[in-house]
Amino acid sequence: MPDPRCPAVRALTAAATLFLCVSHASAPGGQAAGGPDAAATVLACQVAQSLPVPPAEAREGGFAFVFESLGGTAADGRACTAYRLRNLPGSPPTPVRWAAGSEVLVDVARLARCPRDQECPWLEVARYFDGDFVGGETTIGYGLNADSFHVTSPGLVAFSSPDVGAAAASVGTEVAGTVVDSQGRAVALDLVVKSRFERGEDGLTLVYEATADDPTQLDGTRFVLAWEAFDLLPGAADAAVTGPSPFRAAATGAFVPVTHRAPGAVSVRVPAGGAAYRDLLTLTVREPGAGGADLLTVVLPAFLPRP
Amino acid sequence: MAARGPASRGARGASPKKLIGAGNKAYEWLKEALGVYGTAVTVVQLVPAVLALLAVFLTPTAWLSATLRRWVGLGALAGALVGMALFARAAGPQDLRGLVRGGAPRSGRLAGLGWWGLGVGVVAAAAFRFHLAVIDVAFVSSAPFLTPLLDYYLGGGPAAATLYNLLAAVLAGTALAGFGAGVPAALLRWRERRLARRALLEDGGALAALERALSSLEAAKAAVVAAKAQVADMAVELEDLRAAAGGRSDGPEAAARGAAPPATSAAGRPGPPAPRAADGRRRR
Repeated sequence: MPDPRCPAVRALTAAATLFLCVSHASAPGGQAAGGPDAAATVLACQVAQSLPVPPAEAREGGFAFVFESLGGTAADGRACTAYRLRNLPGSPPTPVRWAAGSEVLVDVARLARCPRDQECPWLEVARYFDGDFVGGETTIGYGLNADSFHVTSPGLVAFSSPDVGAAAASVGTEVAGTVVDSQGRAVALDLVVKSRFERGEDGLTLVYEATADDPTQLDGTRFVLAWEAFDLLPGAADAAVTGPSPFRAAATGAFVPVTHRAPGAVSVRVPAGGAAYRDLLTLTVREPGAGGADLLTVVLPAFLPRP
Repeated sequence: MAARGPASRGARGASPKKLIGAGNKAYEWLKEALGVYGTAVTVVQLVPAVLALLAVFLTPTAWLSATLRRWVGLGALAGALVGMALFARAAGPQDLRGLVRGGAPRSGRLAGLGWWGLGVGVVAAAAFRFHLAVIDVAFVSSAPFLTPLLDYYLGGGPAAATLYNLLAAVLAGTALAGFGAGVPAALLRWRERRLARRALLEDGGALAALERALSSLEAAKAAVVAAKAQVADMAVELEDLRAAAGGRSDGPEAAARGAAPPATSAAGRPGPPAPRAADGRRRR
């Protein structure tokens, strides 16, 4: 019988206990999730869980990429989820659509072709919201039309429940990575798009905002942001007005003029009597110009005027 | 010695020949059967590979896309309808106005539609298969010059994917239209020609009368040939009879003279040659 006071035995016991804790940790959805060892910061999300563990590979029909979903806490204390995709070396351009049920988590027109001798960067999409996330089954379609091949994988899905009666609330999506336009040119994305409201002396103001360190991300010259929220926002889109605005209505592609500008931020501010939260809206990063191709589609709910 | 008659000689001599002939024939059959067997074994060995190639050929990776299948299904449906309409138009009876305008006769239209339909169908089907192959990563890696096309279709976003689907639908539709019009047109024309030929060959048909005339001519020709041979035999027989008759009246010397050419002397003129029945007839 080994002596429990022996330092080696105690260290071994502690290591075994730690191993058991990690291996029994599971996401709320019942899927095994990465524990504290998965802790890292992806964009502004302090990662607490990840699914699948390790990042899964989709490898069929000559396509090969890695994907993972992450969940954790943002710097401001809200919950966050992040979805990451990366083409493997030697892989061709790959259209990918990652969905959880009917909710499209990330729809990438294509992951850029990855040279054989190079490790390609992640394309990262993070959501910041009031609420929680759970593990569930997600489906990733890829290949031609993003539905030639399918892989089912556990993933973390956000359940946002903002308090529309609060003084302020915000939901946002951050995108970082490189996508490729229809001409084959790389388009770097690094911005946060958010919907929020503020209650002040003048009443409630709905704010639709994009922020980025690089001003060229916000001038609408390299890409535009087509948001379904603008389709539901009366009077937001104005086809007669032109100017440096990244915002467009998703369905019509109509121009949405920016009402406020600040260093590193552009926004559309709309006074409203009340706010209603609308989930399952999408934001599409689109090539500028009429009939521009979609580059990336992500989930971005919004606060809309209460009818 | 009676056993050595011609009949018994024939029976005993034919037996080995027949045996050898039968043996040769059996050997030929065996050789042929072995050749067929060898070919069959080779073909059977190739069947799995051929089936695998067919499976690969008929199930391209692009076909896994449900969106593409929907587009191609719609295109094929439209193509099949167009093909049916074309066939119906070509197979309709020629109206008077069409004939007045100088339109092609029905059989000509069917033949034209058959050839054109099948040709267009084959070309469109080949193009369709190639179109499916250009986004097959494994295929394109073996044909690198197609890489820009693959990059465009897979990486051009929804617009490029829609273009790809549309092209696939058009090609599938064209192939279906071609086959849908060409195959029935060709079959109908073949059937109608077969029926027409059968009708002509029946009693009372033009071909049947010609056939009868041909067989009558053959019979007449055979009769003439037989008569010619008979006449020649009769002429020889007549010569023999004459020779026999001359021998009985003049003795052996005269018979010898009759058999040999008439002797001539240097002083006297040769007499006229003996008249020949066949020659005389021929001159007439």
